[in-house]
Amino acid sequence: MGASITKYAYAVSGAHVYEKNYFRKSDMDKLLAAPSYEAVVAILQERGWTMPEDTRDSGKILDLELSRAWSWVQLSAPDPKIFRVLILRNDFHNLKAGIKCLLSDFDVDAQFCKPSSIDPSIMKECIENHAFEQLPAPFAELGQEVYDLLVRTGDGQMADVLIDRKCLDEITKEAEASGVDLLKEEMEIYTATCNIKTAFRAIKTGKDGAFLEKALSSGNKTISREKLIACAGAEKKMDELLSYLSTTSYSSGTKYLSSSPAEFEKWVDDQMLSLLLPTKYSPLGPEPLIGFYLGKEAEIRNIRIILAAKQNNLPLDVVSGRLRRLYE
Amino acid sequence: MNWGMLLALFGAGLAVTTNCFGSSKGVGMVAEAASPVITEDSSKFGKLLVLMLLPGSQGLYGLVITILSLTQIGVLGGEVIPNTAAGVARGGLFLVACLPMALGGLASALLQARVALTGVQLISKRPQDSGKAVTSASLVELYALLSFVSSLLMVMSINGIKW
Repeated sequence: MGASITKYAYAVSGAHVYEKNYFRKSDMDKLLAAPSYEAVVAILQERGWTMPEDTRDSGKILDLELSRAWSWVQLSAPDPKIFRVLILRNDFHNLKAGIKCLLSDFDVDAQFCKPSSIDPSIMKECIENHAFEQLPAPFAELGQEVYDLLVRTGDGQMADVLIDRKCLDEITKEAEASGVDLLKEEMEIYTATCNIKTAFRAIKTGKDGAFLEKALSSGNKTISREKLIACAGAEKKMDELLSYLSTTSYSSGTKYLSSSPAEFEKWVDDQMLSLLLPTKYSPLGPEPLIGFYLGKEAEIRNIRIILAAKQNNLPLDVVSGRLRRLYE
Repeated sequence: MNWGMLLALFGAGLAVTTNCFGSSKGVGMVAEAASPVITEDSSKFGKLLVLMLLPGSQGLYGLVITILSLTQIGVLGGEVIPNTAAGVARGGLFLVACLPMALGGLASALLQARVALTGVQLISKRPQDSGKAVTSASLVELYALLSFVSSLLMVMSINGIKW
């Protein structure tokens, strides 16, 4: 770990002050009960959320709020580098979206995820000018490789595999390098469950072990990459996979895989959030800041679901069943 | 070289240095944590001020022990420690007498600051409970006081010891 935990006094105190405005379960019920999308936006505005010019763009509203929380972490933490792992997946997403949009003439700006460690405008410029070498490692080499692959073969799936695998490998590496146990545990759950989802989808669509060899990231402690690959080579692939998963620490969640992948996603999010709860009252160290940011992400995820439901007039009971656990 | 005097001065210096280090670090930490709370609601400053000041008391205790030691060893009064074997032993005793304050004060200042930090969070969320936050932080003060009294009694009685 970089900075001494006592240097986090200001950052943590500020985060706890900020957290007082986080939405609780009762607030989520109010949002759910709001009569329209506009009414939900009005509630968000009352809570001090910054609004873009066009409030019908829910993505922009949520991006602004999440970026605000991220800015606090970056500006106040004595060692902001260790938190980069929390948003690393956005950078990889932006690289993927940038290259694909360029090759298919789509507007890339709407596809970029925020916050990200590489400014989306810089990412866009580098991709448009084919100047991947101007991006930091590992994006420079990966960007060039994926771009060449797409131009040569047009194989979008393999491009996704390359980027997603590298993303998970980098997350594992950076979490380990941070020296923060909570970060390691959180990222372990994230990367291991990503591998589980990849293996499940690959087996369901009839992919072989060679595909999984390329797609699955390495370095997980709670799940065996080799065993997941071996499942793809077995006679009853899916049975073998589910049987192996039932022996892991993810067994209570993987039972949802066959019935409802969305339920599994919710289970993963709730597991990750439950690890954060003890940090809510910590006065020092990087852990409360991790809780602060991931807690905001959980809140944003729920509000995204509610806003989408209001825009599409979805029934309340379906929406409330999808809502994640909150950092409260 | 008057080794007895050197040891006594080292002890006196240690008492104030370690305590001032602990207090400044503690007060600094609590003040840092208090500033976002004050930014949000400046009316909480009064309640937070007590918490900010609490880890500062050890520095004062250390200073008192230093001044008392100096009055006993001939720097601010009293008899100068002689440059003899008995003088070295007496200087060593002053050093030992200052240690409870030097170590106990340092540890209690830092630990008290951590309790005060949780108090800052408490006041931020529930200002009506500020009394509980201050009481919790004050409990650690007892151990700074015990260290202070121990050092005080020892420093005051060394010159009365018959060799």
